[in-house]
Amino acid sequence: MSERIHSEVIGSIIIVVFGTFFFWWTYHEDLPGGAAIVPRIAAGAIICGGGSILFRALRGRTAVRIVVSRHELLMALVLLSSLGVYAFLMLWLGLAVAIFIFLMGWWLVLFNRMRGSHAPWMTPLALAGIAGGMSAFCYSLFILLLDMYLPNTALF
Amino acid sequence: MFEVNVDALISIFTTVNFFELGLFLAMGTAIGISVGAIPGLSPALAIALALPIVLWLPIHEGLALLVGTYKGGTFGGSITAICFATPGTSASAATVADGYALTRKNQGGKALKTSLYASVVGDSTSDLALIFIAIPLGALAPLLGPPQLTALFFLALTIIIIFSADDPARGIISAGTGFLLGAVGRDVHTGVIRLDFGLYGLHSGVSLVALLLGLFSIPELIFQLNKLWKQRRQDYKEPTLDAQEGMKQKLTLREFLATWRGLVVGTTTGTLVGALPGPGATLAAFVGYGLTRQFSRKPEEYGKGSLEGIAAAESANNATCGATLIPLLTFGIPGSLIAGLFGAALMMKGIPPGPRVIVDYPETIYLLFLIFLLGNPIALVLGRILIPVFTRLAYVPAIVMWPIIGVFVVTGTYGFEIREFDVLILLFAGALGFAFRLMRIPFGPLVLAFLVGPLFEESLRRSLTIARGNYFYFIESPVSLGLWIACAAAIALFLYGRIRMRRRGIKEEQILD
Repeated sequence: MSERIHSEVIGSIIIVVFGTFFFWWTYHEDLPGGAAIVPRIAAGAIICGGGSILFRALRGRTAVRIVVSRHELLMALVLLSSLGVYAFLMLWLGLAVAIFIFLMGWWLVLFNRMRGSHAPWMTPLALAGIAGGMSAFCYSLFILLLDMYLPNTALF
Repeated sequence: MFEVNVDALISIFTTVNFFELGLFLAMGTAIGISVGAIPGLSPALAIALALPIVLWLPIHEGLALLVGTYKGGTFGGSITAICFATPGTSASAATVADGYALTRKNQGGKALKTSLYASVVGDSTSDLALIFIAIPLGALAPLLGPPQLTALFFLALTIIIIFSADDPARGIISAGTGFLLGAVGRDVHTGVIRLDFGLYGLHSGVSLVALLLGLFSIPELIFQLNKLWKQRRQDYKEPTLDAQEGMKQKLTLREFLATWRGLVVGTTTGTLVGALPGPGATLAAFVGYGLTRQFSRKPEEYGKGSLEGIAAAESANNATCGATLIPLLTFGIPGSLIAGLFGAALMMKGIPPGPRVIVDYPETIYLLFLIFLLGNPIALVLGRILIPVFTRLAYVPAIVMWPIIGVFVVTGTYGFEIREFDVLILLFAGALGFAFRLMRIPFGPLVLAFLVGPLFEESLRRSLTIARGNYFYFIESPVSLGLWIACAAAIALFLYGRIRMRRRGIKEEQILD
């Protein structure tokens, strides 16, 4: 089995497992008859779609090329975690500080990765200035102008 | 048709200061475009914030501010959709695929101008429909009972599944996921909480803004940041966001006119969908896009940078602007959140929207129609002025820009309804979107099923309750029978197309890959 078909098989099995789990969950929740109709149709649709892809892949008639890169998976994990950390900091430290930390964190990591290939103006100090400006802009927009509620935070 | 009240028109032209009216329209449009271009901030939020101001403004200026904000906001969402694959509003999500594909081909300027002109065309036609055609048509809305609505929503889903996905199996997975996410939370009939997995935050359902921003923006952020990570010093060429020169690309009249199918189908779809209570601009954009693709001579270009696709999606979502007020002004039913806000503004001024509003308050309603019409040239001019301002964002180096978009996505999601749980939904939707992108599963059916799912379920279950479980009730009326036949015809058309392709010797893998 080629690597291409292998990815398709694994992906479709995951989809079928998810669909089956949701189908089972509608029974586990003990929903009244009417309330379970649409969730069961939806879970059934997912199982049918996944099953169809699996069936085709097993027959060697894979439809599209699925390429899963380890780098992309890692980046997805890092980005989702960093966005979660940013949201946590926003709620506990304050919007402006969270934005500054999030932006500087990403910029410094990317800056060091691509050292020497930036525009001349792009120095860590300039990036800190932009991060400060963005923090001030977002604070003015969301907190002062739109009056967005944030719980009492340690900083601002 | 309603008769024109000439006295009311004369009264408007003699008492209203049109210069002031234009200024408030321009102010509203500029605010709307700016707000619409920020991911997570919807025009509805800007309109809601403007409502207290409307209370102390004269009615014509207040309405001008609201209409300008609405029109500008509906268009503004497409700017970031095209430049950064991040829809500013949910209605511009259908523009992302083609708009961003053109930006990557250094033709972002063409995409933005097509979007602006298509928006103005859709908007103007919709306004005329509101005035001259749609109000009498709106009187037919009560004929659509639960069985007809069930058939109508099923038709919308069928169309989007078979025409937005190259591979129907993937379309079904996407639609099933959308249905499932739309079913999370409190059941409309029995009140039981379902699919909450014990999480209190899911009791009120999945937030549309969090879902859309997560699906569309986070996968793009992942892929772009990964691209930057891989571009090390030796192969790092251009520290900008793909398209500096592309933003200067001009759109010729011939190129724009070549998108006529998109404009016609998109505008018609948007006007019809907008006139229905419930669906809204996002649904209109996806249905308009899917239908135009069906009629297109170059369907293979869709999703890869089709100007026709952009014209279809943008004309469809803007064509809901005028039409969304039809249920409000004819039956007093706010068919969308925006219509509800307009209804609130009218009520704050002592004008109850409903069947008699045109008869009892002709001056105000005619004035509203005039403001809608005047808003289009103003949106055109301001759009032309503001597009270069917002596309300057594209000149910012990519390593600077993408993390900033991450900030706006999270903050905008939290700020929309001030719910911490929405951020978790955003991250979940981001992971789901990433998995879908890897599996090449389209987002369109998911979004449509998520929007239509609750409406479909409500009409389905109401019909079953009325008919006491008799399924023949769904085909008893000629309207619903016609809609079911249309569903069958759409599926047959799709299968016929596939069979014809196979006869020509095009293998499935060639069609799909």
